[in-house]
Amino acid sequence: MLVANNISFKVSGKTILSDVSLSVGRGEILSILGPNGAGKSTLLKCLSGFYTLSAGTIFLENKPYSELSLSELSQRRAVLSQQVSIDFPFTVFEVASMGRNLGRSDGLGYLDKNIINELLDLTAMTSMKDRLFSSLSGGEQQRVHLTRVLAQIWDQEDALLLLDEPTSALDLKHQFMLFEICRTLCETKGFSIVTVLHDLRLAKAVSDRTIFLQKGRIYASGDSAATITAPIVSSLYELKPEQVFL
Amino acid sequence: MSIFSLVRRDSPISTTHRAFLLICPLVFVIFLFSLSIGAISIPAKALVFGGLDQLQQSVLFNIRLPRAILAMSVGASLGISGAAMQGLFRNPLADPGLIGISSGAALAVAISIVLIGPATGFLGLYGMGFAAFIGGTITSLVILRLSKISGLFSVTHMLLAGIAINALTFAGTGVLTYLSDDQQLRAFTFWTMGSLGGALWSQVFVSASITVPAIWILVLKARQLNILLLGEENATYLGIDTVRLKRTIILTTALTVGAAVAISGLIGFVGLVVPHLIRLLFGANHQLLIPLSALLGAGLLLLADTFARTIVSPAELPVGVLTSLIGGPFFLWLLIKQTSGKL
Repeated sequence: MLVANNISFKVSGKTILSDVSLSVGRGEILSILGPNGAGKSTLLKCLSGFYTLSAGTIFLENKPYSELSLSELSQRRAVLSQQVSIDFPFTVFEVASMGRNLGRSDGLGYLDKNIINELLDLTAMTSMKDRLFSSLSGGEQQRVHLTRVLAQIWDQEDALLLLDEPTSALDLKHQFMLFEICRTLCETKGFSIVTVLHDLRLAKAVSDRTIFLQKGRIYASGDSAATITAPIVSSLYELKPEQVFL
Repeated sequence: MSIFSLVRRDSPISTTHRAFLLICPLVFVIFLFSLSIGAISIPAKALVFGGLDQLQQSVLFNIRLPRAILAMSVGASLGISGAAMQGLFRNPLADPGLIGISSGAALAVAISIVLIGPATGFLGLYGMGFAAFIGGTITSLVILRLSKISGLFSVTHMLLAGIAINALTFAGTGVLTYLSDDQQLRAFTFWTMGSLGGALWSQVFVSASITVPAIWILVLKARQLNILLLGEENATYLGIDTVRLKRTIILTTALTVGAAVAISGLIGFVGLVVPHLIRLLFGANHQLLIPLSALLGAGLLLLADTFARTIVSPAELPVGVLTSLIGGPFFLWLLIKQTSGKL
């Protein structure tokens, strides 16, 4: 349902991504891996439609991004970006509710509030609902943003969810919680999920397919179990084979 | 239920009701106080229940009422422009006066005074308002560009750009002062200090005709302003056209600041203090923050102006001097608190 054909991205003459092609099917989880500076986050920003491509096209349900408006796109794909800090005293519930019903200026309907409460339950944030967002730990803030992002596409089918290092601040328990939620969404709502990860073992355990990036190009891709292997990892990350634990 | 449950954050009453129950009566009391106090005393009881003599009526309708309403209108426009700028810059230290938008507007007005002469009547007032609007818009755009000059938004760059622009406009106004004649000189002095003296109904009309629609526009954009605080990238993911939103906010703010500056000169710190107090009491949600900043801004400037015209009576203190006297230390406190990470 998400297809990227030969996409490239340049910024002030410097090539960050070149000639990347990928596709993610309905109900599939794709992980993007690679060393620092390989272009993982940039690729995710291209896939989300935030960056304008230098070359290539991205299709969502056979429609190129250029034909989708910002609000159409926002109903079909949601993005969890890396750490977002907020300098103002918002409560957890207020931050979570920013994902809902943007068309209306008067605020949230009954249904919206139900969805947000349900999702706060799912991410185990209900007990902190009225706390100030800025008083939370990094991992808790991450879970609030997850709630917000899920709220955005909760009542959609076949939506696209993009996650940029979603586990960076989460403890083990909540890492598994996150991917349990992801798997359930894939199975029950037909979501497609693309996630940037650093933890190779986690990627192997939770994703169906994997793309390894190196200097903006695809280094290896395929079935996660068959792609995340010691030979590939040791040559890509410049490690000795005995340093790789998978 | 005690009066304290209106102030407590964990109060059982909904924040919206709590906020309006607290602020509306407060502003009303200030309003009555301001109308009753002055060289000719008008008892508050007579204001509410009637029974004013002819002199009192004349003082009320020709002097006190226009001045009080003008103070409220200007205060409201300073309050909302502060709240909107802080949302736009995603920083609680952004104040139109501090970062140079007001002085940009003032310079434009000063130039128009020298080129065209002091304004009179409706057309003149709107003309000066328009000049201030142009000046305010240009400085807003310059500050927005400069504060992101290193790629990411930086508070330091924003404040330094504000200092530079304030210095430049100060120099510009200085040159104009040197060139100006006696009558123009008086007008300039009035602008740099900020005063609501000699308020007329025509000024009230001009100010309100800009402030009221501006409050309306910003209230409509309140949810989008909340989301803008997640950063432009995340706001885009949520379907917001951030370029258009920022343009709307900048133009609306420049318009309100312009109207305030053209009518009353430079009145500092109201835009900084008011939204901060509201956030402290009722949280950061712009759906509440914008209307409450308008209300509290109206109340506080009216209170400040009432003191400004009475404490050294029969002379009058420029209200801008008074707000700076209170706002300056407040800003320092805010700066220290923010640097120590408690904000």
